[in-house]
Amino acid sequence: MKINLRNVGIIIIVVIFTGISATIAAGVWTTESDKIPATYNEGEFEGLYNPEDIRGSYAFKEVSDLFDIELDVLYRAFGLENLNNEELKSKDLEGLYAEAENEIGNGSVQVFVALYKNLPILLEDTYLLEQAVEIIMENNKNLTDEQLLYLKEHTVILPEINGDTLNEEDKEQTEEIKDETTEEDNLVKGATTFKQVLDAGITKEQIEEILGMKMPSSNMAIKDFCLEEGLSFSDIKTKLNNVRK
Amino acid sequence: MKKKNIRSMVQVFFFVLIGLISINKTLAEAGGGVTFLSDASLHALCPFGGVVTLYNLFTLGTFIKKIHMSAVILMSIIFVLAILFGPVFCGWVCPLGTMEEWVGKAGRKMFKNYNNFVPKKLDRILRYLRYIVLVWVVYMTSVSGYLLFDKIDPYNALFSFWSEEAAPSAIIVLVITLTLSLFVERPWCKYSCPYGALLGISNKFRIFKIKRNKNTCISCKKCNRSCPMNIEVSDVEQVNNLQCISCLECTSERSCPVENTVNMQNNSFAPVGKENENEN
Repeated sequence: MKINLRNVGIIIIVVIFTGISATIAAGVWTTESDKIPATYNEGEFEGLYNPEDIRGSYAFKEVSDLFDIELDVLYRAFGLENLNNEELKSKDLEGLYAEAENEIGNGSVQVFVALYKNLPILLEDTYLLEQAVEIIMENNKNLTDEQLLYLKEHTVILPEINGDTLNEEDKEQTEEIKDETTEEDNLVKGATTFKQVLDAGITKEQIEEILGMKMPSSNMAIKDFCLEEGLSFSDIKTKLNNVRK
Repeated sequence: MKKKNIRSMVQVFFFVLIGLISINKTLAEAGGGVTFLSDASLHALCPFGGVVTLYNLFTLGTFIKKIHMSAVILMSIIFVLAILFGPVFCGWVCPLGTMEEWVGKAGRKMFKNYNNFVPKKLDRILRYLRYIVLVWVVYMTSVSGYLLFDKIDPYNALFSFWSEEAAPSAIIVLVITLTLSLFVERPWCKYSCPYGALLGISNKFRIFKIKRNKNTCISCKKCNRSCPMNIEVSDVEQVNNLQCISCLECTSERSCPVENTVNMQNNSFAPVGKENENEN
């Protein structure tokens, strides 16, 4: 049997659109995520949602509902508490933190949720904001040494939020955040050591009072010390900066 | 006189359809768009997405990021068509292939040596590249669970270059592809397309094949010159070449000047003296 051009054209269109129509009618055709992550197939977490399957299209509200994490906690972890945007999606982080040295994006949300809820996840090269790390450490006391070390090595200090990706209302709020966290005015940053703080004129006694414990070797980075001791780096940083001012 | 080019009409139809859906998606994201047209993502409408998600689908029961059931369904439909007619998706449906052809028309007018710039020896080696791309893309996607191909996918860039969806690297690949199309017909299809590499395998077992009647052939080689993939149709009685895209440009309906000499059919041409048995 010979097939001519016209018939090939007709058959292509008929087969494609009949196939699509049939699967739509059968309820199988879907062009977007059903917003239900995969579950663990085995082990003690069997049946629980797997954070590794959080998609960039998930809104933070949906992540909050699916994994039973308060929305405020998620917003705080990713520096979004002043944005008040319920439509904000996990993938939007990439745009918001476009200037960050290391990518903060959907992978960061996956890792945060997993470690916050103490769920298994493959830790590779995903970074978290410092406040997210602090929240995890405050909430999950069962972190392994390996996970603690990972967090220590994968912490990003909050960069300036890229205003180009925000709407007008968000931009105004972002300006407020920026005003509050102008890094230039701050003595203590992510890599600041105790020695640098001492050199800036803050006494050892003042530092120990803020820490609530003995100060370690002065060459140690303050952030590393906070991570080791389970202290909130944000709080310590703010207090030290305030002493200097 | 040759018949009106039905294939061009089908190509325009799918190109416009995908273009409108992409624009509608952008508008929908901005709070606009129209409801009578799909606002699906390009990934949801690309059958190759179905291929790269198969490993995850079978081992984890999930799709890789950005891929949905629609891509798997389209992949299945295209496989059915490939079993029947070979890679008709490439020759009739793929909007990127269509775009390459349109640019190529300008190249054909500009250069006398169009589609013959690449030395044959080099061309033969380069044609293996798309199989390497296929293996790399499928392996890396399966291992990572991410749609890595969209970082270099010119199809995705073609219909999303105006949005953040398009990776800069993919836009560069698109520009290179379209520039090369001025010199070589369908360069992406020939040398780099992983989906074309996969669909091309169907040329070995497709039900309806391109066949040449050696008894009536006048060896004018017009079929060779019309083939966008540079297949030498005049040298074979049946085209099994993995590069064939089933565009039917070589057939007696298009370039072959002798009626019923190059056809797409599922049976062989009858020997001399028994031609009437083949008239159906």
